[in-house]
Amino acid sequence: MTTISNRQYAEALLKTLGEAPHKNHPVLFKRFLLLLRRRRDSHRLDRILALVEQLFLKEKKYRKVVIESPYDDPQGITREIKKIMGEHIFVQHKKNPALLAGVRLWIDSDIVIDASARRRVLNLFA
Amino acid sequence: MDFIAEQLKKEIEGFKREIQAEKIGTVLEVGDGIMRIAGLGDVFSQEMLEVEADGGNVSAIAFNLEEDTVGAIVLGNSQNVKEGDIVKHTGRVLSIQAGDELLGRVIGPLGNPLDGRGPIFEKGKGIFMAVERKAPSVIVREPVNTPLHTGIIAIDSMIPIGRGQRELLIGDRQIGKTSIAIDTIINQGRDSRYPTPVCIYVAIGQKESKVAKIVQTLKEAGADAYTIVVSASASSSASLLFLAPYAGAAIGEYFMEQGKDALVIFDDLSKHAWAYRELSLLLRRPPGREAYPGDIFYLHSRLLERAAKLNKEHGGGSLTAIPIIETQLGDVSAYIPTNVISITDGQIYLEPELFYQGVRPAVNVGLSVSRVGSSAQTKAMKKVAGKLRLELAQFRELAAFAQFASDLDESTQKRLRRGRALVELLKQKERSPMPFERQVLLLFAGTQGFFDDISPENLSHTGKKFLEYMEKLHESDIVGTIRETGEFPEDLQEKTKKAIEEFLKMSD
Repeated sequence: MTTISNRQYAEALLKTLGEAPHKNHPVLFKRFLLLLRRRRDSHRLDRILALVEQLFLKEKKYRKVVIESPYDDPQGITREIKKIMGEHIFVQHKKNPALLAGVRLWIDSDIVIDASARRRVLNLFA
Repeated sequence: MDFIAEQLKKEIEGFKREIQAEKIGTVLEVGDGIMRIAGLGDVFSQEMLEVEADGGNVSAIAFNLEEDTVGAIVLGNSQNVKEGDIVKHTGRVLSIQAGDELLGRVIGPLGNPLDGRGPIFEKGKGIFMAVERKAPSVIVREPVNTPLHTGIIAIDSMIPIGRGQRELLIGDRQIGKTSIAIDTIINQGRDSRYPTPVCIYVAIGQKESKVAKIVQTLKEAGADAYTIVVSASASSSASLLFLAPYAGAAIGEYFMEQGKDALVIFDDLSKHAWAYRELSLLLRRPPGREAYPGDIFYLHSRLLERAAKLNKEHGGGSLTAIPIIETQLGDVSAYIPTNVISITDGQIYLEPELFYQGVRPAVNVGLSVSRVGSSAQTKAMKKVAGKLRLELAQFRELAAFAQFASDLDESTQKRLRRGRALVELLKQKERSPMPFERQVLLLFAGTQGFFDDISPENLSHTGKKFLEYMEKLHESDIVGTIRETGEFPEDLQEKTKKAIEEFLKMSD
């Protein structure tokens, strides 16, 4: 059986869902899961879905920003980030008390800007 | 509390406002000393990575650069690493600190001390040498022309090793390979004609008890003053076993680039190949012959090519490599042995049959070769050892024939007696390396036929007494002259012949 990479799965799924009407999406997705099971690639599902999200956002020219902070829902930060990066950003918030203070920004899952107190404390005692 | 206050004070004084954006990856899976990372799209091959794990940062090296993921080998404790941990790249390759402070120490492949004697380098001291480096080019090298005496008569006379050469030690298990290597190290301190090289013994996958015994042996012989032991024991992870020889070579290169001579012994590269195979299979690289990855040749060729003799313009230093390969049931035509034989400048083959016949070191002179040859021999040794290999080969043929012949002519009997005497002279005990001037005298006496009439059982004792006699009565006029000049001219040969005759008369 030919090996199919995660990217190939993600691109195929995205294209299929993109071309089909919304009401068919659940059925198509179920078929996709069956396909993965048949090819014994179910364990790669979460990575494939992460790639689907990445490709979808890239297609729509959106950037994904995850704001990690020890506080609840920092609306102020979201507004500031939108001002800097423009409106085409998809913002998620993650609460992480371990940061102590400050924020950590994840941009497109591969760039991090760590302005947390935790990083400073770790650097202090490294 | 004072320490914390001090640290906070430093932080406040040196407070910087800049916050950096860093490209990161996340751990997808980890286990068996390797991990898969998502992200890190711009990482370089062999680049050092830092994993922010719970128990502290763990280092790794990027090995496989795939379409969506990066495969890395973990250098620390992979048990602290979990899925989702952040991985950052450092922009540098793995390096090891090198300096004179390493002499007499036992270290791991990452430069960490293993001998319990505390830190090796003071802060700011020591030079960082990249573990993986390009081999010296053709332009900076010169031909091998200086001997590296092992102290073993069979090797120094017929399979001479030069400084800057790669000579393979190959044989079955428990045949004396490590013993020859250790005797070589010990002899470097006793060879007064040439500068003592820095010796680096790289133990790859050896038992810790064996390494401890070797360290003790070197200490007792006084060899620890110029020896460094790099140990990745049998309980180390495959990544450390893989890195150990390169770390040893990097340390050797440090001394070579200082204009000094260095000797590195890789014990053994068979285990190194197994560790690399393990890593490659775990990283899902396509397996080839005997499940080794396709670049198994390159693994050893890039290591051994780093041994060189540099020309005067580049310091004149040298790095000699003695890799060891363990064969299974004497099979030198297996995959890894043939690979390494084709890379090195010769091999010393140790044969089990000779070992069990009592010929130790069990060097098969017929199958062993040194491609550098007599360029790496003193003139004195060249003179006495010139016909040795031929005489031994002729003896072996005649000995086989003589088993079936009842009546042999005088010349055949004479050859047989000569051959038996030479075989006995080449036997040597462990931990008894012999300086080259003594070897010259012993071989001269043997090849000139002075020992032909001595029974093989008494030859070892006679040889010992002869050398003691020469050192007591002819140290300045014969022994010392050979040692200092490295030559054995005709007049000295005549003097030596007379001395031998006197000795034999006294012994009678």
